[in-house]
Amino acid sequence: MQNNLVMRMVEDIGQKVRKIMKLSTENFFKKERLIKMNSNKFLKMIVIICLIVGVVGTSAYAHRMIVDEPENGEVQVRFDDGTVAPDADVTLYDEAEEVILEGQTDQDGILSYDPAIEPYQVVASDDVGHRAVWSSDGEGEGFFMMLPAWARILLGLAILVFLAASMMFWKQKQSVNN
Amino acid sequence: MMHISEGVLSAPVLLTGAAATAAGTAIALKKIDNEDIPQVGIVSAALFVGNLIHIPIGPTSIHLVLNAIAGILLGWKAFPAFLVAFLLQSILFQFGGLTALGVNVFMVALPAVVCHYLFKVLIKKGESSKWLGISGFICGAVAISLTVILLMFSLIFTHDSFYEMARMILAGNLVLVIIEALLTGFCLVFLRKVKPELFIDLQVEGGGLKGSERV
Repeated sequence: MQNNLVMRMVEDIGQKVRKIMKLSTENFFKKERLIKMNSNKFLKMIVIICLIVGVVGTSAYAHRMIVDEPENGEVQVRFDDGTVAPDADVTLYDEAEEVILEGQTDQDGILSYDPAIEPYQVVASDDVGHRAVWSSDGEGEGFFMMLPAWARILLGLAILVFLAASMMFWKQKQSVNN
Repeated sequence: MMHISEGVLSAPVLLTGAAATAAGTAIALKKIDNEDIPQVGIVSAALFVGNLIHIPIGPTSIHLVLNAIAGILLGWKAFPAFLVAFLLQSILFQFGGLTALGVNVFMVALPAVVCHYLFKVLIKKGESSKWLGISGFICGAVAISLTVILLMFSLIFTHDSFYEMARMILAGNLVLVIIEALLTGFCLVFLRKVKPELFIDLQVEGGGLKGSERV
């Protein structure tokens, strides 16, 4: 008997909640149709995307191949998602850009060579279009790579907002002129 | 997998890719309206971020491409969206070489445009959410498969062993085909729930997405 009462109460509450939810979604859709997709919304979306990026974490990268500095006759080839690059073709060059050594990395993404060799430049590539260069004079690292990942993501989104805004401005001016 | 690095491809391939991307972008910029720009911007931002996030699978990891959903929403405007997103990735994250930008954009944007028209055909055949999900699944699978084919095609001229290259690419991207297909399906079902007017436009009109114009 008591059980039955509780059941009925739960059902009642459930129905009310459903009613409220239905109402609010209907309102939501009505409003949604009225609001034009404007730049305000665009900015909001950007903020949301930023938050998602923050939640996902700044360690998230796509694949970029990296050649680490050669040490003690070993050169490590890896990707910036933390995995190594096995079976990558590696070429070592000296200062005259002559090939000293050509080889493939092992299962750990490492190529071993005679420690007496001092490579000036190391070029690694794999079969699917990745390629990376290490150079003893530090060339190849871009200016932006000094920034932390989150700063670069924010910078990218900021540039996107700027581009979209200036494009809108330009188009508006054009339509006014016409 | 869709970011070919600097110095991998030969000049004719690079030039062809750049020309094709320029043509696609030109078509898109002609079609673009003032109301479309926020939408292109949002999708571009999503692509920029989506391509940065990687999902670990087995010994390696994959990152999302999202070209099916971008194509369905934007049509030809996927070209400038991908162009800007990849340009920023290339400069800020060194994903893909600047010289290979044209090829990289073309590889994902052309399948996106194909998906746009494919989706329009598919969506006319049914109204239900289930069919919408299935259409999304098909589009997602087609988009990534086409991208993989284009990727292999662009790498043909630079590799001695086509078999080895094809094996590596297929092994790495088979999972991605399934993930993107599922994701596209779910995305479309979700989008119809929160913004149903997008799909009315796609069903009725011919000229791409004009959600903001229909009030």
